[in-house]
Amino acid sequence: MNDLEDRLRRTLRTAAEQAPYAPVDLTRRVTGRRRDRRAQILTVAAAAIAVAAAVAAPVVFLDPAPVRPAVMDATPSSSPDLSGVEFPPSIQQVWPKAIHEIPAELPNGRKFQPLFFLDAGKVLVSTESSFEKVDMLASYDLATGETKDLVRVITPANAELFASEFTAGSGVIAWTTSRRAGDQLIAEIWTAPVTGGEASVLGSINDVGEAEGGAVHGLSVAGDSVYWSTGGTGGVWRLPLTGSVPAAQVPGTEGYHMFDYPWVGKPDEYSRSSYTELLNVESGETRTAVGNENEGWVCGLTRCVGDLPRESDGAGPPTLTATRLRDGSAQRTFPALSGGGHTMITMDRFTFLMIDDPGAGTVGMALTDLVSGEMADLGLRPNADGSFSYHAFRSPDSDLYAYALKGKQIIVDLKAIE
Amino acid sequence: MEVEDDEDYARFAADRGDALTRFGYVLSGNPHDAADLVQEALVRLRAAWPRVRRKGNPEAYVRTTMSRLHISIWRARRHERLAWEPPDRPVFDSPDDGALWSALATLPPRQRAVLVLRYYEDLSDEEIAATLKISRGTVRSQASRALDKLRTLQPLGSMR
Repeated sequence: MNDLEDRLRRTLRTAAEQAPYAPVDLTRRVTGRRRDRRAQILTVAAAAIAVAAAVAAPVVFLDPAPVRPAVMDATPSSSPDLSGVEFPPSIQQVWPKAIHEIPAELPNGRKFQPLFFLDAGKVLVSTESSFEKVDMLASYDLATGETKDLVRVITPANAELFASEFTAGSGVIAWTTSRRAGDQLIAEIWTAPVTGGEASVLGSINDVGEAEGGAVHGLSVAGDSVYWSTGGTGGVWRLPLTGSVPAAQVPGTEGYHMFDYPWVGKPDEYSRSSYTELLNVESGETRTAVGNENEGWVCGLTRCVGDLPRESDGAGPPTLTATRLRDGSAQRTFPALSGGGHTMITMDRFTFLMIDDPGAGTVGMALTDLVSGEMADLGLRPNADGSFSYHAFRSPDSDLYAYALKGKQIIVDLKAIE
Repeated sequence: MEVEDDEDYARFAADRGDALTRFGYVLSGNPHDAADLVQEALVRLRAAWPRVRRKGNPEAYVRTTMSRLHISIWRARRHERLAWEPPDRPVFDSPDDGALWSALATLPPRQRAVLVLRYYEDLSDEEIAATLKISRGTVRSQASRALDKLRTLQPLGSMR
C-alpha cells in the first residue's frame, strides 16, 4: 500500500463524514408522483442554484471542475474580474442569420420552452402548468411572434413521468408519459397532428421491472412508425402510427439504444453520446469509434470531440480539446479553453466548449462548429455566487438551441449556420 | 403486497438516504450532484423495486446505478447544467489531504469513479469492472492514469 493510496482512503472517508445529510424530504421526492427527471428549466439558472444550495433541490448539475490551482483557502470572488479573459466573438457576430432574440414570455404572458423547428421560422414551444408539467404545445412564429396553440397535453392520473421526449415527423408530434397502475408502470406513447388537434394514446407499454431507466428513450417518428429504445438491456421498438398492431421489437436490436433514428448504439442508455458502436437499423451499416472507452470522448454520427491527454509532468499547457473523425483521423485542436463542456454533439457538428479562467473557473461557453472550427461566445457569464450554468442540447439531432440571456430568449437556428 | 412493497421501499429510502448521499458526495465531490444522484438512483430503484427486492440487495443496486449515472452523460437529459462552481470544502486534518480532495475534482468522472469504488467502497477491480460495465483492463488503466495525475498535481510535501 503506498502513501497516495492511504491518503486517498483517508481523504475520501474524511470528506464522506462531512457530506450533507439526505434532503429531509427525500422519501417524499422519490415516492411522490412528481418526477423531477428530465428537467427542462430554461429561465431559472441563478435562482435554481440558490435554491439548490439551500435545500439541495435536484435542479443543478456540476461537471467536473476544470483544472485549477489547488489552494484550499482561496476565497471565491463573487464578481470575478474577467478583463483578462479572451472570449471568442459573440454568437450574434459569428452567425447573425442563425440568431433570433425573442421575448421570454408568450403574448399571453406565459413562460415557454422552445423545443424544435416545425418548419422554417416556426418553432414548437411548450408551456407548463407547473414545474415540468407540460400542458400545451404551440407553434411560435419567430418573425411575427404570433403563437398558435396546437395540442393540449394531458397528464394521466398517477403520472410518474410527465410528458417527455417530444419529437415530430410524418405529420405528427409524439411524446411519452408514464403512470403507475398497481405495482406496474405503464408508459404511453402519445401522438397529435403536427398542424394541431387532439392528442391520443397510440400505444401503451408495460414498464415494470425491465428497464431501469424507464421504458421509452430516444422517441423518434420515421416513415409510418414511432421508434424508441428501452433502458436497461435495451432493444429498439416500433409501433406503427396506425396503432393497428402492438409495439414489437425491431429484429437484431437487442442490447442497442436509440442514438438518432435509424442509428442505434451501444453500450448502454447512459452513454448516448459516447456510443462506440452504431448500427443503422434500416441498412445494417455499422460504425465504430476508436479509443472512446478510455478517453471519455463523445461522438456524433461521424465525428468525436474530447480532451487530449495532458503532459504527465502536470506543468504543461492546459487541457487541449480536439475533434476527429470516428476512425481517429482528421484531428484538429481548439484553442486552450477547457474540457468537459462537450457532453453531446448535435447534427454531427455542434458542441460546447467551456471558456475557463485559471482563477475564476468557467466564465463562459462557446458554441463550436466542429466542422469549420468556428467558435462563438453565447454571452453567458458566471452567476453572482461564481457558479456557471448553461443548457445542454436536447438530443443528438437537435436543430435548435435556446437559452435565456438578459431577459430575452435567444433561439439559435443551427440549420441556418452555413 | 403492493402496499407492503411501497412501505418497504420508503423505509429503505429513509434508512439509507444519508449513507447514499455520503457515497454520492465522494463520487461527485459536491452536495448538489450527490443529492441528485441519490434521488435519480432511488427513482430508478422504485421502478425496479419488486425485482431488486427479490434479489435481496437494493443497496448494491442503487450504488451501481449512482456510479453509472456519475460516469454517464445522463445529466445531458436535464438541460439546465452547472458547469462550474466554487469548490465545496470539507475540513481535513492535513493540508495535503485538502489538496488531494481538490485534485480529485480535476479528474474525469470515470477516473474518479474508479478511485472511489476502489478506495472508498473497497471493491476489487473485477467488481469495479462489473459496476461500471468496463473491462478490467480499463479499470486498471483508468486507475493508473488517475493516480498519476494526482501524483503530478499533488507532489507530497510540496503544498506548503
